[in-house]
Amino acid sequence: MIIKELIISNYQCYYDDKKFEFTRGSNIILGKNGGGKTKFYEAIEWLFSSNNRDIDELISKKKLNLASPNDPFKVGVEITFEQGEILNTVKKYFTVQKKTDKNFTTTNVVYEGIREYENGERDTMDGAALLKDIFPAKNKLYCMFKGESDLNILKNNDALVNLINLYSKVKHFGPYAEKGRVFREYADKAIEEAAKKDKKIEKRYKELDFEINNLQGKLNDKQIFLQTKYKEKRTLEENIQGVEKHLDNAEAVETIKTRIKDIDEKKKRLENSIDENYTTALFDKNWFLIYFENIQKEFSDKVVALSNERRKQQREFDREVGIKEGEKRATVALFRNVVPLPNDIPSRAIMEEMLSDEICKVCNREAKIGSDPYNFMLQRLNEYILTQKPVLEEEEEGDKIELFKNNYTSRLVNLEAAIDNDLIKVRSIYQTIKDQLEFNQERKNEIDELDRKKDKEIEDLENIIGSSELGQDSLAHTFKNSKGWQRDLTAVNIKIEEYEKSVSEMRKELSPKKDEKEALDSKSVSTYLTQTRKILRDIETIFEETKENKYDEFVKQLQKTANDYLKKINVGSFTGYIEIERRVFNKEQIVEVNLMQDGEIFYHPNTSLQTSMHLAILFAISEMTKIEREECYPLIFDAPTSSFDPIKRKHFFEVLGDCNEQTILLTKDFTDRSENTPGLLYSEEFVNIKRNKAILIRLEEPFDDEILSTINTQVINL
Amino acid sequence: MAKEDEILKTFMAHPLLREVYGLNENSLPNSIEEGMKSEIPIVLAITNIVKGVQRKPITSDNDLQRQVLAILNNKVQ
Repeated sequence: MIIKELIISNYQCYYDDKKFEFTRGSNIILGKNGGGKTKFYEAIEWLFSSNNRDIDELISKKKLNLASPNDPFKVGVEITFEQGEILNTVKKYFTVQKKTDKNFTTTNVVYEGIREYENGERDTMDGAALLKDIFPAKNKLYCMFKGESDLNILKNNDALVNLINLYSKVKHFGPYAEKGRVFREYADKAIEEAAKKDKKIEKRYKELDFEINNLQGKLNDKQIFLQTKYKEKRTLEENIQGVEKHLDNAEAVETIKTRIKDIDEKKKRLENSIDENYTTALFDKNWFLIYFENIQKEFSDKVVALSNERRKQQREFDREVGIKEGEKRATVALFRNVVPLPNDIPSRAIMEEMLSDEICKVCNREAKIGSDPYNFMLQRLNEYILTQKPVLEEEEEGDKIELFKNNYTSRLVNLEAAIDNDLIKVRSIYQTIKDQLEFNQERKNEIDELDRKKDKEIEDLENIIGSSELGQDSLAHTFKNSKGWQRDLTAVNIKIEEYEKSVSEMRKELSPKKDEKEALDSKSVSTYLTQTRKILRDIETIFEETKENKYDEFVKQLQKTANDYLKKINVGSFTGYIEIERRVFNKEQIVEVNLMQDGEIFYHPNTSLQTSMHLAILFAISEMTKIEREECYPLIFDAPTSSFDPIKRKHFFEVLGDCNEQTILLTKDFTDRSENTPGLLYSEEFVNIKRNKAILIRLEEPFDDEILSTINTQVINL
Repeated sequence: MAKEDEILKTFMAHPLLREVYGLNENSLPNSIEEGMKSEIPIVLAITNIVKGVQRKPITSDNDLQRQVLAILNNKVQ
């Protein structure tokens, strides 16, 4: 079956009726972004869907603008399928009646179907039913692909089974396996009931029955756990591989961040060790005394001088006192044994007269000035005068007379000595300040060095982040996650080993019990029943294994064909190979499609390789099923090769035409017109692209891309 | 070849029939018609199941089960 024709009428950017005629093989629709490719695809989707909401949005604004009031027009899509000699046409449309420039009404959406036979006879049919008949809705999943992400058709576990059921003869073997199981279960039950009637074995039979059921239940549980762990393991491996390419960067970022943290901590410690509170130190640590030594020196000199002076005076004083004492003693010796005259004889006036006359009138001898007699008289007079002066208490005490009453000088001397002792401390202030300044400066230098290191680390960090697809936070998460996943993977592997061992042990335990039960069956139940059960068991095995073999063959062939296509699309470049793994667990088919590289799953291929893998599988399915299925369906792609480079694109288009009876592909590729060949409406590259039909869609000029009522897509057959 | 015959042949190709039942190619049917004439219980049972599933009107599970058990019980005895 192919799509022969598609008419889009007044549907969004398609003003009036726009007809697309298609042929067998590859049909390529070229169109720039905004030219109407997506609307084309959506028009077909709308035709196949039962969603008829928001139809106002589907009306061509240009048509709505230009239509006359009360002049109804149709909005819809009409598709014609060619099925052998029969043409099936389905129309889906609604009618719009413009009232005023801003008002319009719409009718309900209606379907019309026409079947036209070889002889020209036409049957009008229910369009929706006809569409359902010729193009079942579930086909859409395997026939229509929007963008590259839609191409991964085997992403769900049930996808392969659905595909097989839709297109492959393998589906015929499915019901037998189920019937085989039901028949065998019936035979088991019949035997069990018969065996239970035998009283001799009843007790043991019940015990075995209980033990087997119990053990089987545990085994099933363990197997479910095991499957869960396998799945977990795959997810972890996928996650780990997914971040592997970022891991080096993530680790580097983590290392740099740790180094930056270390630098910050060191810097903080250094900053804390710097004490620049000099003002406080000036007083608290007496730094202001730094130049005190000069003052101390001056003070010391003065104290020493003062002390010298004091001692000198003291010595003089002591000498004077000594002389006086001596004189006293001499006088006493002179007049030994003679009572001296009183001091006032002769009287003061006589003495002064005699001195004035220079004659001693006592002994009547001349006494010239300076002579001994004269001096004797003068001394006597002075002694007399001295005795006439008031006498102080201390003087009266004689020995107690002191020159210096207080000992201030000694105290000053002691103070000077004490300060002198402390000068060691004062002298060290200079060194202390010097040391402190030097210490601070050294720390500052170290901080500067750390700042430089930190700047370098930050620069490295920025370079890594700049060259990475992930941001700093994501890299940090990646690092953390990766470490976590590695740990989890180790734990999961241990669990898997443990479960596998348990499963194996349980099976070993179960086997003799089943054998014993079988032996009891044989003893107590009629042979024909056990024989019947044996045959039914074998039939179940044959049905089940045949079905499994058929599925496996299909998968194997699919894998082989897919790999052939993968090579064709990726000529000259590395691809790895596709591995399609199928297994059954709990009656559920599990299909895993992986791209393999050196025997290991390549979890994260680039988009281009991923797309080519999905296309290869799709083409393989298409090729395989067209051999087996009764009907062939067109494949419709919207921009499936956005990530392909020109070489891969060329290989893809070479494959495209041969893989299916019909493909319709929308692409923005090849729309850049060549300057060398002005007559061409497409790029020179397209000249060499293999295709059966090419159509160009583009917006009719002039148009204003901000005013929808000016938009109309033209359809040009190339 | 009719689909039912093709399916039957596929089942008949299973090694279990040779290995456990000692059947050779000559004793294995190529079609439903041939299978229905077989005296070998397992071959007859499988042929009946394929016929019941493929031929319209499709035989119900219960009827098919009864049918198969009857064949086997009869042949085995």
